[in-house]
Amino acid sequence: MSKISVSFVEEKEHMRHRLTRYCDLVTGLALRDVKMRYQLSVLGLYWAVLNPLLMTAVWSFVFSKIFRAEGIKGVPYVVFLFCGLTFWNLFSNSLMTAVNCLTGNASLLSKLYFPRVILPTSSVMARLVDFAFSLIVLAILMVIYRVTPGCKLYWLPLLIVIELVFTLGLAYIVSAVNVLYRDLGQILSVLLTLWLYISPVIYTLEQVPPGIKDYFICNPVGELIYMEVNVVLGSGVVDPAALGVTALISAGVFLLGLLVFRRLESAFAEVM
Amino acid sequence: MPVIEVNGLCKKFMLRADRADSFSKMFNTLFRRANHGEDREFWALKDVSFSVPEGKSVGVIGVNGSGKSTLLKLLTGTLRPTKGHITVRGKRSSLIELGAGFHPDFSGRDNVYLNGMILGMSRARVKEKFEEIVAFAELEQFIDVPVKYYSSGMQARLGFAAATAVEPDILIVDEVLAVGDSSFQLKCLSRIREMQGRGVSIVLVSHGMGDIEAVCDEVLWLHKGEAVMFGNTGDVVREYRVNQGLPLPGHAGA
Repeated sequence: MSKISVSFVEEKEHMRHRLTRYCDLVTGLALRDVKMRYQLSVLGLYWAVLNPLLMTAVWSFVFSKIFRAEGIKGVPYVVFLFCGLTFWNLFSNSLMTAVNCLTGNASLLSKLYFPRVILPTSSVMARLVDFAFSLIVLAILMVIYRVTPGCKLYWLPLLIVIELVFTLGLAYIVSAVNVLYRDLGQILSVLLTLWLYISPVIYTLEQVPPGIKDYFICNPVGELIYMEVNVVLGSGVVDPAALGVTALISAGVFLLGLLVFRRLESAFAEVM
Repeated sequence: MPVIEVNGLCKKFMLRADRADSFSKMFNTLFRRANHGEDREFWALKDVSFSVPEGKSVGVIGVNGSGKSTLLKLLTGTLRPTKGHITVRGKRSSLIELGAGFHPDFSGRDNVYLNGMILGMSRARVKEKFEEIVAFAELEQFIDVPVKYYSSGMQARLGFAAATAVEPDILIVDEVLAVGDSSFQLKCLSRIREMQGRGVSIVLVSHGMGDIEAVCDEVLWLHKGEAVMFGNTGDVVREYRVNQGLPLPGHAGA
């Protein structure tokens, strides 16, 4: 018999009820997060809309006017860049807020028990609201610049779901590791900046030299952003092989994330 | 079958003099191999065993630092034991600290919903129970005011109302009855009584021997992480009073 055993025997709850409860809690926490940003801070909308717009304005000037960068043929660079940043920010902002979601809720974690994985999950879900605002702005930009959306737009939901799965997996890892090593947040922001440059956000995959291009498949976020931007603005050809590989990597990262989280979970209450 | 069984429970904390809690510190120690101070072990609980029969309530008493709160956290699941066995049968709800999980910037309403969901209710269930929770907490007028403007008594009332609305089989309460005025304390006691009448087990940590005697069938007395005594409330409380030099009831005014 093992040295330790803890069992909480509860009346058998229908799986569906349990899922409803957890979904409710994820939504509740995510909404609180969103409310905090939009209601309690004057610049709430800044994060969702103004920040990517400003970045797009400055970057599109630097990259298209000075470096003569080009996005998708026939699409104004401003629209191309904003589109890429919209999908990039969903990933990047999710991780930047998820990294602090456990440490920021230390009092909650040490006093109440609930499945801890709910915190990083809700923290990622909260970013979907920012993402939705950003999509609206993108639609407005497309109308202003008379860009017709790609005819394969129906791929988009699936692509976003895969991006979310990948993001959740990484969010579980960074949030858990940050409990033990509190400076992960700073390291992460540097890493994400580098990651942005190796992803096809300010350029397209077609412009990458052939020898290097083969390695881009290792970067699922880049691959996803490439497909998402193309589906929204371009010809929208989705390569099934690339999509399959990306989906598999994402699922793998998600499972790995859950595993890492579970391993580190028992240490949370003690370190905080 | 007992609702709670605890067997040989031990909990060790490491009091770390210099834990590398960041990557930069870890990096530094790689090169300097400096380790100022030794890691010290601290046993918050040493080989504690007790059980709570179905429908019975247990009090946990002891001076500060005796391991009471650690025990409750192990029972709720926020901490994991270092050694030993815990079995809890039934739905738990807990009130470990006044307003635990409340966000000061949000209204009482928002906090009741979120707290209820954290404690294990679905959104629909909280909605059903909402009126009752607010009525019990007597906060009808203030329910849309941010919790940061609440007095500690108001927070305690809302927290207690939310935790008991879960309709648990086991309610774990840490020293919250001491907050709030006497009319609230009476209200809480009568709610606890009513729950006990329905067969709910209460685990109560308190320094107030009056509360312990009013609620608990059996008492666990902890001292420096060890169980000094476990048994009938009257016996344990009497011993504890003598040990602590507290006046025995009946001798108080003499």
